[in-house]
Amino acid sequence: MQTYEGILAHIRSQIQEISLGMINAADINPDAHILEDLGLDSLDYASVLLECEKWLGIKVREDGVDWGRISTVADLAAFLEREQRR
Amino acid sequence: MRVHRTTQPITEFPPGGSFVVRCGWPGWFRCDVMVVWDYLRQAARHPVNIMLLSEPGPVLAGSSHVERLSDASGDTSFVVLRTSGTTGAPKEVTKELGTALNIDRIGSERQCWLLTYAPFRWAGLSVMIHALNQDAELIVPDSLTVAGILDAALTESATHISLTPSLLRKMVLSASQANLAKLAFEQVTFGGEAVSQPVLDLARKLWPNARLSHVYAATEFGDICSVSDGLAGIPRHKFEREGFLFSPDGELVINEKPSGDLWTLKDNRYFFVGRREEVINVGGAKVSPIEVENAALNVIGVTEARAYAVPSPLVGQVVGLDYCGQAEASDVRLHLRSVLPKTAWPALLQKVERIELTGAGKLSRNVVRQ
Repeated sequence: MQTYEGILAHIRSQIQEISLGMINAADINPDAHILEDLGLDSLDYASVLLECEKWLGIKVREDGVDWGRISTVADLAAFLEREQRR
Repeated sequence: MRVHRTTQPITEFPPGGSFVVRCGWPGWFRCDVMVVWDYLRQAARHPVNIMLLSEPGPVLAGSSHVERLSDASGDTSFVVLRTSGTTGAPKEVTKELGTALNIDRIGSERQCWLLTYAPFRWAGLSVMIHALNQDAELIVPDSLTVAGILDAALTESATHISLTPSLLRKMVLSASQANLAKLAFEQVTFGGEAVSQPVLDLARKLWPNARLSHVYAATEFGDICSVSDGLAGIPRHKFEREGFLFSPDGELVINEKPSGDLWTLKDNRYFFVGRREEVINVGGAKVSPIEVENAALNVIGVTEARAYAVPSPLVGQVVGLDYCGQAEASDVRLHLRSVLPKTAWPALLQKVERIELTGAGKLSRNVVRQ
């Protein structure tokens, strides 16, 4: 089971990887909006999510999730932490 | 093992009967082939029907390999290919043999056809029917493993082979170049999967004296067309036939029956995009798994690749890619980003030990994530 901080760090590293290093993990503010602030698109977001699922060994719920409310890096980390405890 | 149309039959299929043959049990490959070989020769002489029921799994207690169903058969022989549904929805296709069998022709030279497909699939039946019609010998491997096929090809001096591109890749990985070059094929026919230009070029390099063809066929429609010009894709004119249409999204419709196969036209040739159920829908954009695989196979160190749909709560589906070989994932990712549109970039990229083929020698893209 990963901690919130561990998950947050992993998301940051995945964003750095998906951006081919254009975004430095250390510079990513947890309150940054994944799509609006970091310049990623929905495909990039989907890739980061998928990599995190694989790393955590989980599959997130497909129904009943309001993705509009999971918009920042911190939101995503908190969501994944809850999902891994489900 | 070699058989010919003159080989003494073991199983009798008297006229006017309908039989079911339970096949596909592990270790029964040669037995299944012999039963079907016997059936085809007798079906060419008198009406008799057969249902080939593939039931992967253990032998059922109290059941028999060949069982007579009824005495009624009609005026012509037909074959029913039926899967049991244990691994998916049951499917049944009926093929009337009619004039397909012509076993009176005397061949001018003895050909040796290597069987690489199961006899209860249309591809396997098609090879067996061709071999019978051409007065050829049929080489039956000990098993449908790559090792079994290679061994049979080498020891029995096969002259003709029909195989999937995926099987050729596995053969190249399993055998030395020297051993592959010893195979004196006169005819190499690709089928079951779309063949890419690199695969055709590889076959040409391995067997420079062979005639190379690729066939488009479907169980429901039989053999549709064959191409022997050494180029991938199907020349446009081969699909400009009565009864052939394309839907707006590129699905081939034959005699008003949707084929499930999607095609795209480029430079006057049709290229296979994929089966409708295998095309990956990434946020509304259709991605061909074959295109992703072909791009990955161009990376040095990638020996095999398989692309498939991965469900995504954000965009519907994204691309998953498994690959084998020594290439680093970062190199694969970098290359794919340079040659493919963004929607085709794998969101999930995994190096795997092996990529299994289906019983028909094809890549299985029905990947269940663990």
